[in-house]
Amino acid sequence: MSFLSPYFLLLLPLAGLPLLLFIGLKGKRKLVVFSTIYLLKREEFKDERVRQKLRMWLIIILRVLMLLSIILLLSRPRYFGNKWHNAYFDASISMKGKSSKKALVKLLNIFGKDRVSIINTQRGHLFKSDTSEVPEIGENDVFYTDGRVPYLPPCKLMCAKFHKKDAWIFADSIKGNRFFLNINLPEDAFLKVYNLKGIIDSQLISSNTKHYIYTAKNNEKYIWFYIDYKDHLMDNNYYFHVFSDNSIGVRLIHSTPILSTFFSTYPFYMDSLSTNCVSIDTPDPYCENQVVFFKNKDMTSYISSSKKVPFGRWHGYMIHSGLKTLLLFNFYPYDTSSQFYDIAFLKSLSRTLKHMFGEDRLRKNMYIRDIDPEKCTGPIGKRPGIITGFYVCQDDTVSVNVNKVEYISSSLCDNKTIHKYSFSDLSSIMSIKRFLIYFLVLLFILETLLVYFL
Amino acid sequence: MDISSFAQKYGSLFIKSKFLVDGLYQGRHRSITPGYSVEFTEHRPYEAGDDLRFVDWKVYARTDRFMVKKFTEETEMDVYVFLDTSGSMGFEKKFHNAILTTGALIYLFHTQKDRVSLYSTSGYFMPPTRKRDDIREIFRYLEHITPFGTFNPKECFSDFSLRIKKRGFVILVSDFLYDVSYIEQFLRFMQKKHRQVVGFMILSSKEETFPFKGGAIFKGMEEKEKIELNADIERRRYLKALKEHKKTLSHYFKTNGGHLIFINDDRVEEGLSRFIGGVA
Repeated sequence: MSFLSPYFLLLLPLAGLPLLLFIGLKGKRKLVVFSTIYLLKREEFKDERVRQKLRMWLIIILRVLMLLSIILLLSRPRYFGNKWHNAYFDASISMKGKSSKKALVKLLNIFGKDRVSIINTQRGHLFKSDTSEVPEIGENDVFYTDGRVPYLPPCKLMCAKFHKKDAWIFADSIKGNRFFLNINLPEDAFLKVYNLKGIIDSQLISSNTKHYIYTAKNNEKYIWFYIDYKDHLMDNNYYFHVFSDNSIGVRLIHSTPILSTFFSTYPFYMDSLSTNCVSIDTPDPYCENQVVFFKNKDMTSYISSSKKVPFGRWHGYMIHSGLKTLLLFNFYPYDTSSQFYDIAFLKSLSRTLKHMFGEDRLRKNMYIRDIDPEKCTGPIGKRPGIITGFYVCQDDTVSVNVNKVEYISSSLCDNKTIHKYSFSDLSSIMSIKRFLIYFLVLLFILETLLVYFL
Repeated sequence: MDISSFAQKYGSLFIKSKFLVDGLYQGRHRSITPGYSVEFTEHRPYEAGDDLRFVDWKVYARTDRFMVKKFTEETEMDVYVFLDTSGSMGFEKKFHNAILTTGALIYLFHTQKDRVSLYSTSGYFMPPTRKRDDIREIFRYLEHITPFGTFNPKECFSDFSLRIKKRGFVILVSDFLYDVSYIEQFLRFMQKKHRQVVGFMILSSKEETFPFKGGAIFKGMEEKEKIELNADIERRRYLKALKEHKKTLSHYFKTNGGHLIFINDDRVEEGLSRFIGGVA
């Protein structure tokens, strides 16, 4: 077991505080000279005193355990126990002749003593292997270790499992693989990308990958994923760790319009849906798959039931989902012919939003990034990444820390790293966290019962 | 309030024992033996040899029968006072109250011309006496005695029982915070011997309320061992145990023809008044 915030472990001695206090206070207990302890020595007192002593020690132990749980919660433990990992291995022809095997060995090292299910995406075979077994890429028979013919799941079915469990994907970054990932990426998942050319370890983050995280609510984390494909080389192999957790949204931000096809709009909208905010994105004009994503993820039903909101030449959709509101605009800052950027539109939109939500609130909660139209020129592939976002808190009671969002957004646009966060094995963190929380609650209940009722 | 002045306050009070006591000297208590006194008891037919002075001539005039008047002789009585001077009595004002009670009772009985005896658990014993000097010595002793040592009820009560030679009045002044079976044995023995026993249970208010708080180590004034307990938790149980103890004691006194009077802080006078009102 290792810890993501090991510094909190320095607080571990504090867990012994109840015990120390008890012992300290015991030493300082006053001596009461009483006339006679004849009555206090009686048998029924003795039995009761033993019970009380037991009860007291139980309370102390419970308190120590409670403190331990809190400290462990803060230190965010993760484990590599006897856990099964699903590794989706791309054994397609593009992987042939690359440093895949070496990479896979390194990948398997990450799992430590855990067992791994390796799925060959080319043939769809599932193999179970101990980490000591190093599979040969493209040769499924060599993977086969335990004599059982495994289940042959269709690729899509495998991907559907992303929603429920962790998955490791070992693939190169050709378009097909990215599409495969993106189409199956759940709205509440986040993705970690490892560059095999970087240093591979459990904390591995490639220099090409930037992560931004902020906490929107106590239980809602945002991880902003920024993969700068400008530096991307096609012969790089990537493997991805997809986590699934309801509290996490995804946004993949692109800088190259072609790649944005797969990594742009859909997760962002879903992200917005899950965060009680109005968001307006400016997807790339070449984001031809946008509609496909909507269809695939049943966004059409949302949109059809929503109110159409016209703004100048463009129109958006106001989608309500409980407290959540998504103001969705599909407009193109790039014009395929003239490549103009409609500042006028943004201004009119800003005015409308002020009218809708109030100027003060909008000022507080809105982020507008004006784009320099001059930078929006040039051939495709050399345009800078442009993100324009409006975040308007729907209700004050919705505690989205929009100021933070603004900061992140602006920093993101300025290409600054706000916070590099390693979330490898977050699922294990989450499961331990959940366990610790339940354990803490249980301890608290027990302690209350002991103190007040027994 | 010193002992002498306190005791003098009760010196004018008059008390009579319910029981017949025998004694050598004429006193204010009825003797078990008939004698010459002013207190008439009954008539009986004249028999040869009876003193003619006691023939009731008025009855003869009315009934034409010789009837002899019988009188009960009034005697003094022996009062045995047992004083517990063990360490536990030194708690708070317990011993002071015990001394006040003992002094008042001794003086009271002394002024009634009764013979008073004092037995203390520290080994002091003054045989029944009515001499002024002896009484003074008892008071001197009471003024200087300090509670100490452990109380061995079995030994003390058996020793005390042996020193009670005649019928009389037995007064126990103690906190009775020890095994009640010894007291029961003593009371039963006293009843068998026709001694009336009155107990004064001297307790302090702290013993009766157990006002201690939190965890503490309790040490008895007589015991060497210590007990570690949480007073808040044990209070209810202690008070219950004390109540039961008092109830058992009262029961033993009652069933053996005695009385138990409770005296706690600053309620000595109240306890004595109850004694005089209840026993006399």
